[in-house]
Amino acid sequence: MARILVRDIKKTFGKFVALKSVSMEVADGEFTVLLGPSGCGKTTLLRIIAGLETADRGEVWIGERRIDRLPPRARNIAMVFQNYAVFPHMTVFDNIAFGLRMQKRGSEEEIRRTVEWAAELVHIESQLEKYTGQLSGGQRQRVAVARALAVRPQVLLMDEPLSNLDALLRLEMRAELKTILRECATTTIYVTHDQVEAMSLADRIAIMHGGEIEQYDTPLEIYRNPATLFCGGFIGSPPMNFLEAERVAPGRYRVGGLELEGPRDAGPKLLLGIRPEDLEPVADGGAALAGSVLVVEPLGSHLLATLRLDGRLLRFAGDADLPLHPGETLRLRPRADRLRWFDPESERAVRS
Amino acid sequence: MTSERALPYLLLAPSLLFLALLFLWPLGEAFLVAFSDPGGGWSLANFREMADDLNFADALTNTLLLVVVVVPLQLALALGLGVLLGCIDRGRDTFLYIWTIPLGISDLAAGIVWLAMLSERGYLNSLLEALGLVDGPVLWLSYETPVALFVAVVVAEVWRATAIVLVILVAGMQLVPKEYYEAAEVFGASAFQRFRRITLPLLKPSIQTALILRTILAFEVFAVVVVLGGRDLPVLAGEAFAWQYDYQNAGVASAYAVLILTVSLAATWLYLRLLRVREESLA
Ligand SMILES: Nc1ncnc2c1ncn2[C@@H]1O[C@H](COP(=O)(O)OP(=O)(O)OP(=O)(O)O)[C@@H](O)[C@H]1O
Ligand SMILES: [Mg+2]
Repeated sequence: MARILVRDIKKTFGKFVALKSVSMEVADGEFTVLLGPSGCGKTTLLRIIAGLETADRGEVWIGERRIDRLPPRARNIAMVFQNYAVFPHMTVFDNIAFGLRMQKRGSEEEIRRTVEWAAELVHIESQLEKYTGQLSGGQRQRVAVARALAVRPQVLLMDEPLSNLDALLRLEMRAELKTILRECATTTIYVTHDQVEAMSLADRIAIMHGGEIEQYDTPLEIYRNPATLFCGGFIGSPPMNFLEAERVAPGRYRVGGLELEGPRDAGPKLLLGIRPEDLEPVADGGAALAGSVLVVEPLGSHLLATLRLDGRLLRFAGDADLPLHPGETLRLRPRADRLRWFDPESERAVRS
Repeated sequence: MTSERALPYLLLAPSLLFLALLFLWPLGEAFLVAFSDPGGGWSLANFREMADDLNFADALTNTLLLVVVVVPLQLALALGLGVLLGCIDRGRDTFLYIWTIPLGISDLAAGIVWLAMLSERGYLNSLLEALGLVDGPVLWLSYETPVALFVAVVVAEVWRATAIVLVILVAGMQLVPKEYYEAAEVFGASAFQRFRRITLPLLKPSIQTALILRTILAFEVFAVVVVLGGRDLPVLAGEAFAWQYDYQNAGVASAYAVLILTVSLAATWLYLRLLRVREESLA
């Protein structure tokens, strides 16, 4: 059993607070993605779990073992480093074999088979005799992934392991990683700031922002019900629209030219969050949000439009065949079941 | 384009000229003197005279022994100190400064420091007497106690010149990115394995530099030996000096100089061979 439990971790560098109070539990065999903008503390959290950094307070457990006082090598984990950290004075083979040899895992023959297996997974089996200094950035990164997979860890920490691969290879390796890690029931924490990657890989996503986890949920739940303004703005491309709403009666809010049903016991001013694809064009006549079209992006599968509405920008995703042109006025109405409300003060969601 | 390419050569030329005038010229002269006989022809007479001298075998053995004992000792010490230095966070520079103080002292002065400690009326004897360990002054630095004399020279040389090895190795260690150690640690390498698998191989170029430098200087060991033992512990450079100034025989002195140069070059070549660094692994 290798669930990872992180409880109330705080970390400061001098006066700078890198992690405020981070808690999360990754179930045994689960694939969790840490997603957040640059500098939000993803690497720091990973390094604390790995034992390369000491937290100011808090606990880290793997399975039923508290590990935050143990040295890295006693923690039984593998890691893919953000900057690869593959050894330049060793061949690709020796790099991948490193963990196996250090941990005395089997004979040289067994090690050779495991190394070849791992190398094939990341498509570098033809480079085994090269020194890593002769490899491209993407190849080095794959060596780092293979080195971690080779030890078949119970817990695998990956810090942006595919960031340097071309789009096609990344897609392919993403799928392979997911399959192999599921087969091995490896408990994985995977760092990325690519939200598409996060959505496609994760059992659950932890959205990090400014040293805190703002939401820890399944990808769809985060997409549908973002817990904070930040989560709604960070997930989805284009992100969620936020419109100012003013209370006209208990439970009723005015947004632009519309009156909508909102949460009953909330403040006089709220923000309405609505996904671009949850806006629907309305035929002339009925009440609507009317904006002038600034840009139209025909993407083939669908169409994206940017509108100006009361001096703010609004993004709309609609049918690819909609006859839209810049300069026109477009009238839109949000789907009633997709309205999400946020408190502008706390920036947190208000449940209706 | 061509002038741009020529510029670096032009700028380097004066230093080459300087070196040629002040180094290669005298070197050539020394060779000429070493390989000529009084009649003016070519001969190995000087070398024969050198080899036939009573002190020659001792000088050669002593010098080689000193190199074989002092250099590995210094390398081991410097590696150990360097690794320890890497383990502390604060005060690293202070330690390094203190350790490098002997570097600022000329070898003659270093010899005198140790003479003050080890002579008949020196600090060591005073201390031993005060502790009641010896009855009267003991002679450490005499031809009757060659081992003690040899040990004294080794100690003085280690004290004087380990710091240069240390500085070179510490500079090299600082170039090894921290991530390599972190990765090694995560994948299960013990402290000793990290030293053996990461530090040593990545430090090879620095070790090579330090060894070459120290070995060449060790073959030229002179002032410390002269101060502590005079000619009771003959060494190659000391013999060269004696032949030049005491016996006024520049021929044999030059033969010694050529010999020292030859063994130094041989050692350098050996190090370059043994510690060859694969170019492709330097990334
Ligand atoms: N050793 C350190 N000393 C001082 N500050 C640090 C140190 N390590 C990290 N930080 C700071 O902590 C914050 C979080 O860093 P971290 O590396 O965890 O970010 P990240 O989320 O991994 O970002 P990225 O996506 O760019 O890799 C940053 O503001 C960084 O400047
Ligand atoms: Mg990072």
